Amino acid sequence: MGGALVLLVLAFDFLSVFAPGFMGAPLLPGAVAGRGIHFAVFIMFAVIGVAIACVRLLNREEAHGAVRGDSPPGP
Amino acid sequence: MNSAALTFLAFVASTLLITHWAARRTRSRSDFYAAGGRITGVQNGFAIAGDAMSAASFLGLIGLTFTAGYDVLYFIVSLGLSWAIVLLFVAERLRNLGRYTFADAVCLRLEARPIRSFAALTTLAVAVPYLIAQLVAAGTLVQQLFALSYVQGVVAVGVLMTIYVTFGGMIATTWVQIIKAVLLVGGGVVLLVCVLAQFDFNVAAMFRRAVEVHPRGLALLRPGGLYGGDMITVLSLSLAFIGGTAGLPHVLMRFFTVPDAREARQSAALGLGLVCSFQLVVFLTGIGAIALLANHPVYSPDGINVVGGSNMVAIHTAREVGGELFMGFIAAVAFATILAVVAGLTLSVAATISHDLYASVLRHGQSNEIEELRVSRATAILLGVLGVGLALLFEGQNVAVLATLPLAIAASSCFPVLLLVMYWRGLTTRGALAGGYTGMAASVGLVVLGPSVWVGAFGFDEPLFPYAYPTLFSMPLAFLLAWWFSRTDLRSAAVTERGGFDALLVRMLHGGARDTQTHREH
Repeated sequence: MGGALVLLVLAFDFLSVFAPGFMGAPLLPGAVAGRGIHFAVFIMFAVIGVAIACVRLLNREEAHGAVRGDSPPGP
Repeated sequence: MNSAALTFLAFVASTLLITHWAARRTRSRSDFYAAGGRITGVQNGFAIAGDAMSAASFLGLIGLTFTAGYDVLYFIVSLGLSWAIVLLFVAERLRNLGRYTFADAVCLRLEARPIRSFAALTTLAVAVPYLIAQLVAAGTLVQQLFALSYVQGVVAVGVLMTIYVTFGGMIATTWVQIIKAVLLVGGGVVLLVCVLAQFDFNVAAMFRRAVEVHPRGLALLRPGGLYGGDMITVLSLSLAFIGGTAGLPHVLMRFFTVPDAREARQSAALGLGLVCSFQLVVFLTGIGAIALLANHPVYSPDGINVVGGSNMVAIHTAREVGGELFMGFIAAVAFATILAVVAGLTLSVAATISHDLYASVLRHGQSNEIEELRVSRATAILLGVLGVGLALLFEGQNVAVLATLPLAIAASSCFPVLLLVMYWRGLTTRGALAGGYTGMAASVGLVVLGPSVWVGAFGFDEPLFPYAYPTLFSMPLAFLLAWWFSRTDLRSAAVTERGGFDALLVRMLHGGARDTQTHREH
């Protein structure tokens, strides 16, 4: 998930620098905000989504571990 | 007395009461450095957000949106990603390994004394410029907002931060951050709602109006307003944020204040959610500010420059949509933001000087808790005096470089060492020191030779290094040298250090008895 987010941000950076016309063009006809702005907002929501998914996944894994009686071996 | 002064005085009074309360609960070293590990995930999440949301990320980014438009998004998406990196790769493992400072985690497998010396030096290199930049900003802001002198502003912030840290330690600092985060997020959201209300909550209409009134027109919402086609600067900026956030000592310390890894994870996730949401609020407010202030005869007659400088955009916007009372509130929140951030910085320096440098390096682990706490408090007072002195010395100077340096240093020294120690079996002390020190020297050197110092401060025509952010060069260099010097390390100690990775991995993933940990003291 972390790798996907890094790729998204890199894609945003590369497209903004090398394809400013594409990123600046409106997503829908008549709109003012371009694709780049929508892409940035999408990245921020993706980051929040990944954070929520990650916490839920790890909490669930921990709960399953506790039910199975997996005790941490300790240092 | 105006509304700004009243709001700020209310903030100061409440934080001093909290400090009084915290002082009675701060009895041990663990209380002072890590709030006794009693902070909950939710509380720590707000405190993390407070640490991450400085005056620069509020006043600065709204101002930058006003002048540069689209290119502010490079900052915003990088900041969002940086918190994802902290959550996914750092928070939980660090909590399971460390006690009070990030050096605790690194020293579990590597030689303690040189690593702790390195940690103390990097913490100072990150915190002191950051502290001076914040104090200079406080002095400047206080002149514009409260009709006080620069000296009064700097001294007020310096004295208050010293009181918070010296008496209340991490407990007081955490609660100051929580109050500030709530005020800042609340104030930011109310400001955005008031701005949107001017356009009947039609975001598209606000964007259209911004494009109509700004001299750059539609180009405002297209890439290139700040960095043009400079890919190296854009990537360097992204890397500085990504690595820098995950390497800032005062942010890393926050993960030791919660009772376990689960709470650390939840606090990082909440902090991330707050920071990301707040950045979107900041961007939209910036666009709204353009729509409201550009070409306004009072605030921005020429449409580009703002009366009082770009940092005043948020304050002017608050005045335009909410009158003097709301402007005062936002101004006081901005000032409180600076105060909270400098308190966190001071605590991180006090902790590393007393815990890493004094107790471990100078006293070889032979000092007791009382002695260590005395050194911490003395460091906080000394740093307060030093910070105020340096801020007075820097009055009127271009301190932009001081805001650039901390992230670059953290990304090129602390972050590579911390990441490699947690994820690469092959790292040895020699590699960590070679990479860490080189990354620090390279980032400082390239910033000095770059446009911020060479042209901005020294006054030369052309910089010797053309980029403001050196991270694209200094961070890979740090990783490369850490790898090379570790691979070629043939000492017997290096074999032991590599062999220690398995025990470290178990501890990282499952936790361990933090207070009984033994470091490799040599």
